[in-house]
Amino acid sequence: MRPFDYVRASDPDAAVRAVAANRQAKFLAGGTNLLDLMKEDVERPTALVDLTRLRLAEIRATADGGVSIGAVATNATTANHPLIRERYPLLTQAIVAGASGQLRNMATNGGNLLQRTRCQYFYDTAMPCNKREPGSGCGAREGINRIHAILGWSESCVATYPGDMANALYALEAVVRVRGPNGRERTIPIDELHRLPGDTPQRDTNLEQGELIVAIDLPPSRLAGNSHYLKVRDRASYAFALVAVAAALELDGNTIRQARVVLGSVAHKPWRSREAEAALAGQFVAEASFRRAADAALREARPLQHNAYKVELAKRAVVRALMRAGRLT
Amino acid sequence: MLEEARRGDTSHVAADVNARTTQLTDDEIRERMSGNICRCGAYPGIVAAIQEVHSGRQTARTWGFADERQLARVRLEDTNETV
Repeated sequence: MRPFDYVRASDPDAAVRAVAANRQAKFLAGGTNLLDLMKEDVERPTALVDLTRLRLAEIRATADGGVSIGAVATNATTANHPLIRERYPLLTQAIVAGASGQLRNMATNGGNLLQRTRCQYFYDTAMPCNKREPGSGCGAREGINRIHAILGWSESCVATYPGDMANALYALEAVVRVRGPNGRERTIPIDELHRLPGDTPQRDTNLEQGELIVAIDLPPSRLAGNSHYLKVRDRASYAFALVAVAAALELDGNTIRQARVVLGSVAHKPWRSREAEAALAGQFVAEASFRRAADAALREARPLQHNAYKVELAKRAVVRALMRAGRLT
Repeated sequence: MLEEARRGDTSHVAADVNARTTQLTDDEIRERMSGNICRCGAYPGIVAAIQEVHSGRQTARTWGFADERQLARVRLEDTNETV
C-alpha cells in the first residue's frame, strides 16, 4: 500500500484549496470507486480530502420550479427523495439501475458523475493504457473490446463512461455547479462536463484540479412525465450496462413536441443523440417514428472487433425505451 | 432491506417509481439482495427466508422424509419396487 494523507474538510473552500494546492490530492466522497482504484494501484493520490462532512447534501426545490441536489447527497437518498421521484422519475430509475443497494447508500451524486471507466485495460496496471499512463498505448483498441465504445472513440482510447445516473441527467439537461480555487462558483451544462477521449483520454472531464462539484441543478422539465430508463446488461442486476438509454418525450396529444435520447455505455461520455431527437420532433408517437430515431442515433457508429452487437442492441434499446416513454408498451 | 421497503424505497424492478408498494415480491427481494454475493446454491432459500420474515407467513417449500407407512402405501399404489 502507498501511504497517503487524510484530511477531513471543514468547509468547501478549504477542500478546494487543499486539492488545488497538490496535483496528487483527490477529493474523497463515498469512496466506492476511488478506494477500489487505489487498491488496484490505478489511482495513487498522496492526499485525500474527505468531503462527506460538508453540508452539501441538501435536496431542495428551486424558485424556477426545478430541484437542486447536493453533491454529497447519496445516490440512495436522491433516488428515493419525493421531489426526485415525482418530478424526475427518469433520474430515480437511472440511479436504482446502477450498482447495488449497499453501494448506492455510500456513493454520492458528485462522485457518481466522476466515476472512471470500467475498461479492463485501465484497471490492469500490467497493460498499456493512455488514460492511466498517457503515451503508453491502448490495450483495448486491438484487445478484447466487447464492452467498449462504438461512438466518439479515438485511436488513443476506446473506453466508455460506465454510469447510469449521468445518462438521465443529460436527458434532463442538468447543470453542474462547481466551486473553484478562486472562491467563485461556475456552472457547467452537464453535456459539457465529460469529454470525448481525443488525444487526452487521461482527462475524463473539463474540471480543473481542485474544482469541486457542489450541486447538480435540474431545470423544470416538460418531458419528465413520459420518460423511461432502459439498461441492458449481462445479468439482471448489479452489473454495468452494455447499452443504456434514457428517453423522454414531451407530447401534444399523439404528436411528439420534443424528445431526449441519451445512450449510455457506448462512448467516453453519455451520448446525447440530437440526431435521434431531431428525427422525433413533430412525429407521431409510433414505433415507426422510434425506429427512424434509432437508425439516426446509430448512423455514425463505428464498432470495434468485438462489439458490433452493440449497434443493433442500441437501436433496439432506443426503440424499446421510447415505446415505454410513449406508453405504447 | 426490510426497513428500506417499509419506508417505501423504490427499486429497479418497480414498474412505477412513485408506487409506494411495500409488499415485496420475490423479484423485489432478488433485486434488493443483488449486492449480496453468495457463490453457492443458497439463493432460493435466502429469498424464501426473507419472504417469511417480511410477510410473517411460511412460504418456503416444506418437506420431510416419508415414513415406512407412507412408503408402503406408495408401493401399493404404484407397484414400483424401486420406490
